[in-house]
Amino acid sequence: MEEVYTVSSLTEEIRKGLERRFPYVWVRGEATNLSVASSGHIYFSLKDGSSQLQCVWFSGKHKNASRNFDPLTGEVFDSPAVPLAEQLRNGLEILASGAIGVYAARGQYQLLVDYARPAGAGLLALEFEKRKAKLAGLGYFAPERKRPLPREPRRIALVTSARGAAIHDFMELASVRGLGSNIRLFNVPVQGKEAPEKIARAIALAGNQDWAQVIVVIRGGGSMEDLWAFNEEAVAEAIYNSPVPVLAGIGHEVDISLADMTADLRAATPSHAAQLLWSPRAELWQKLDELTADLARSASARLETLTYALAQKSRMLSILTPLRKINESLNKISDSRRGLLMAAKRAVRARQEKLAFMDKRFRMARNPAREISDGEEALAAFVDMMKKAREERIVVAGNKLLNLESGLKNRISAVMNRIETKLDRASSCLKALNPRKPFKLGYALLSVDGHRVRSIDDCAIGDKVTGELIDGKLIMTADAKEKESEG
Amino acid sequence: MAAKKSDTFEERMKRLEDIVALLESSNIALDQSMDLYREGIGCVKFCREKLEKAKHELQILDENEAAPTEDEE
Repeated sequence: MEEVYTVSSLTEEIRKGLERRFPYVWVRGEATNLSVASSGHIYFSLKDGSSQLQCVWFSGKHKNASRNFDPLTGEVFDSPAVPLAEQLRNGLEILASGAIGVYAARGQYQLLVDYARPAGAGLLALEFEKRKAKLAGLGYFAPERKRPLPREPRRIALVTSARGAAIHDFMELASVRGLGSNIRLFNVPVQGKEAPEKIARAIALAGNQDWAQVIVVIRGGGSMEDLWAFNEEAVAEAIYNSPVPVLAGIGHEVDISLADMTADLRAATPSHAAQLLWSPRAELWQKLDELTADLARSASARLETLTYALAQKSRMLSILTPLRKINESLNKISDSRRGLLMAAKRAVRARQEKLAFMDKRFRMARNPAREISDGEEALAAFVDMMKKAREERIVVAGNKLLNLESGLKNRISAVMNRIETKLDRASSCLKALNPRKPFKLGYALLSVDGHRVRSIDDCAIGDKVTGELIDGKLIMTADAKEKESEG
Repeated sequence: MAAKKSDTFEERMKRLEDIVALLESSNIALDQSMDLYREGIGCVKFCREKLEKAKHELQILDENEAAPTEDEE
């Protein structure tokens, strides 16, 4: 037998099935049976020619919905749009999104609305998604198709309106960037019925002129409808077929058109397009200035290196020069010459002296009389000398005697002196040891029967005590003893 | 490298960079150094003039208008 459900279990199964099958859906329809509860929840139905769908839009959902951001298209509104929750009225064609849920109490399925908007704009968004999918399928957006833009391009084909904000923004940024260029503006309408075809034709024309290095397609910000021309397939196709790289900057940063996606590079805005094309001129100046400084520095460094190398070579040369060797040899020669000269002079002088001596001897040898007289003279001198020597010897002996005598005397007196000195020292020692010396200070020397009294024990009571003082003696009798306590 | 004169800012800047690199690294003769330096100064002058004169010329073509034939540059 088949399984029997309870109402609840069946409802639960249906709920599960629906939630699994429709976790998030977009539904288009005309609003009807609208009622706003005091809780803020909005209840209504969506209907078309033959069907109705119950909808509930909880207040938390429609109040939290951002007022200036469209989650479907990513469009950001310049001024906060009036929330649909406030615009909603019976008969309004809307597009609602959310999950399908089941209200078990009534056995109803319903759409739990997450977001809703008037159907017109929503249709554009859906159309956009449809075309996007189609063009993606054709490979229009393939990353490998993207060509790099030329650096610092000089010939630019600009496709936009001559009267729009875009051209103004673009030229303003361009004026401080790049190295100067020729810009051909293909003046086209950027919105309206004719726009897509004219834009597409301008792109094709610019590409076929074989002049531009890059085609720039720009348009200022606007609503999705305003920008719609750039979502037309004709424009995307022209870009896709362009033989020249295309840079697109359509609308604001959040606006992404099919033209943007097909282009080789997408700029967020028209100004940004100018930034992507050219470097800031100030940067180029800076780079040039740096290179100029580098040139001067490297050239002078090179010169310095060469100068240094030259100085080194010149020093090497001066070490290795033959002139130096020649000079050294010359010095040696001059030294040798001087030595030779001196040796020669010495030799000559020695010969001369020898010659003079020989000459003298020779002259003496030739005169015998003179030799005899010389001999007599020598004899007389000898006798004289002998005499002198005798006299000298007597004097020496006498002197020696005198010396001995005085020496003796000196010795004796020295001995006497020594003895006297010893005596003096002994006497002064003796004086220092004199026991009577303290008498001057009033001390007395006591004795009993000639024995020194050193202690009270040396004397008995009644003994006669003799006290010697400096100038005489006192005879006393010992009357008592008092022992000095020790310590 | 032959002294083939290039006429764009980028080429001259590149040449200037090459010259600096040559002067910095390689072992080149004095005469060649001086020639390179002179050429570098020429590049600097050229680039300065280009930068001073840099300006974007805008010419507006209305719909269906043919491109001008004379090519200014």
